[in-house]
Amino acid sequence: MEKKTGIINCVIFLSLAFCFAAPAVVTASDTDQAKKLMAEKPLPLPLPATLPAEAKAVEESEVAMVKTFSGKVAITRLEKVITVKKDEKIYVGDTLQTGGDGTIGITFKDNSTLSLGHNSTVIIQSFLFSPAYGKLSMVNRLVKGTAAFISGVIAKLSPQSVHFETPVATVGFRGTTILVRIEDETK
Amino acid sequence: MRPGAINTMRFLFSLLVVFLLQSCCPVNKNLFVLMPDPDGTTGIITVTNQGGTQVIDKPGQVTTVTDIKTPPAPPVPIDEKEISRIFGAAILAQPPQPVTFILNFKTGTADLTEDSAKKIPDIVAAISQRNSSDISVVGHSDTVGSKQRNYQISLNRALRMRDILVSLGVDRQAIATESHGEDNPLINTGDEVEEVRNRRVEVTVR
Repeated sequence: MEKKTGIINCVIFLSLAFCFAAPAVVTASDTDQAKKLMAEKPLPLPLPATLPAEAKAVEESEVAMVKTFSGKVAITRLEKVITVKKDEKIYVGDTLQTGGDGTIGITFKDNSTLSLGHNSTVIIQSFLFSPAYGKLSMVNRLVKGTAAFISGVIAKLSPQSVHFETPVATVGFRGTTILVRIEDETK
Repeated sequence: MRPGAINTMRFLFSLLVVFLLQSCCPVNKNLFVLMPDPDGTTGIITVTNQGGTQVIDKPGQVTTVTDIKTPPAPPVPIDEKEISRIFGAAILAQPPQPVTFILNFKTGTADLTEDSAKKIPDIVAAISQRNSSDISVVGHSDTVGSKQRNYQISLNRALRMRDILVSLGVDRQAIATESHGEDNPLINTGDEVEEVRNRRVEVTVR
């Protein structure tokens, strides 16, 4: 009886020790240790396949993220103004506006980047990035002000699918960087 | 002087005024400038409206567009001072360029090749440098085995990569994983072809 309890205690102790020791090893942030860890302690396979749904949801929702901003900036979504912060998600249909001292820079899921100078307005009109299914499209419309745009993967895979629209002309691409200024017609 | 001559002079003078205004004051113009890409190459843009199309294929050239019915003007060079005067704020606000790492795997497994494992510190450095919470990990396979199995292998590769990054302190929520299976090869091959360059994950840090 005593012996049995001893064994059980031992098992409990060992499993507890393992529980505490394992995370301690895993959270070590030293990259060298990680390399060593990877060589010595491969992760069990197959890993739980819970992610496709999650990944898909991400792909269908936001199309870009705010990376930089300064001064007065506003994002208008479904007629509501959203407070801008770093990593704020951008969706199709959003309008980005900067004031006299404002700037904003966003990075799209296809690695395109778009930034606005002062007193500028841009509308994210369309964005489809699903190379595996051949669904590719990107349309941004600069209503007024200044913008810098660096095209990304969509322009590489399907240049005809990328348009940068303005009230006076539309820009088509072969993978490139542009600057655009549009005068405010209402002035 | 004959009245006809005066009219002609008036006309010429007004042309001169318009010309001077346009050349001295690009302030009142819609501008489209082609710039070199971050990788040093330059692409081509077309600027199109109801009046026609203008192609720009040299960096540092600009076309001006008066309105939607007037054809875009032939491209002319624009100097750097002018660029920074007009576009300085927008250029300063540009996010850092996203960076993509490609890591390869041993055949049929989610085990990184030794050379690829060495890239992990660079990925973590790029993430911390940008303070990025916008990371994508996409798994791919070569064409050996069934499509279904390759989807699963590619998924395992992506998840494995994510777990490695998470173990190094990267926020799990910041990583979006995807599997493209054998459908998105880097190197085009026939079916059932072993190709290490296609057995990969692409980690993009934005």
